[in-house]
Amino acid sequence: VKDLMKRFLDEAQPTPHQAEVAWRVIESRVREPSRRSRRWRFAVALSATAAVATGILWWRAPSSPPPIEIYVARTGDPGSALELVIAEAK
Amino acid sequence: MIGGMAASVAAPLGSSDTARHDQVVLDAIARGDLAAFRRVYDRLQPKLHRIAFAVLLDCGEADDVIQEVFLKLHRQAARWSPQIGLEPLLFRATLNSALSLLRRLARFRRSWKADAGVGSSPEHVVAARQGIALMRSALEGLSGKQRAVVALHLDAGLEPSDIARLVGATPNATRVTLHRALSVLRQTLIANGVNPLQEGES
Repeated sequence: VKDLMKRFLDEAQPTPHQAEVAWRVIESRVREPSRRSRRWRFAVALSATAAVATGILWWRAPSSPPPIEIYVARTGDPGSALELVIAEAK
Repeated sequence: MIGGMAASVAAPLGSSDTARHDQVVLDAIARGDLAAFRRVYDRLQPKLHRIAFAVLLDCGEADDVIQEVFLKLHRQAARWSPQIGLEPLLFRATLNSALSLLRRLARFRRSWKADAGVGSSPEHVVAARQGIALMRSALEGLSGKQRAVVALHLDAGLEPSDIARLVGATPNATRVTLHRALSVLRQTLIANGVNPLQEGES
């Protein structure tokens, strides 16, 4: 178990180059505390995408009653359809 | 003054000189000594990454945890008091961050594909991949805290009494956790045709 555990963890070890890059990120964040983490930037991007998607869906959602043709088809009578449209608009 | 610091963080838990040397390291980091900070990073980053990965089973998330731990060290060095030693202090910070992240990620776990590269012959590569994939599968059957205890014991070589101080449990409870976790690992490996006694000391 010990040997397998060590081999398993060895597999996940960053290469020297990856460790150096990771250090550079830490160093840059130490020098510039306002820099945010990868996870924070991802969360912000995700939130922004979700907000834009919600805005698009809201904008495209029908905000007015369906065309009068639908009411005509439903009632079979333009006069009744017009009354329904007016009633819905109220 | 800073020269002996890299050695100080390698000192065993509870070493009498460790606390004094660690305090010097923390003071240097608190003053903004990047060289001292870098030495601590170079010395401990591999160990901490192994622990974070053992808990999270995800390289990218382990990277983020290590980054946050070292940033916390840099920002809070002036307030940290290494009563248990700098290395155990960073072990504890890593464990807390990793376990906290694990809870937050519970619903959004990403799969991680084991990519073994041990050995050169095809048989060796296949065997290594099977063993590592089995180990991952067995570890997934444990809780994050159990994985942490197992990694701290098998990989970092800590005794249950030392691990207990890091995970905030009693030594006896830690021994029970370790025993149960190792039993689950052994049973899972045996059930998949791997004899742990032939794979190494357990």
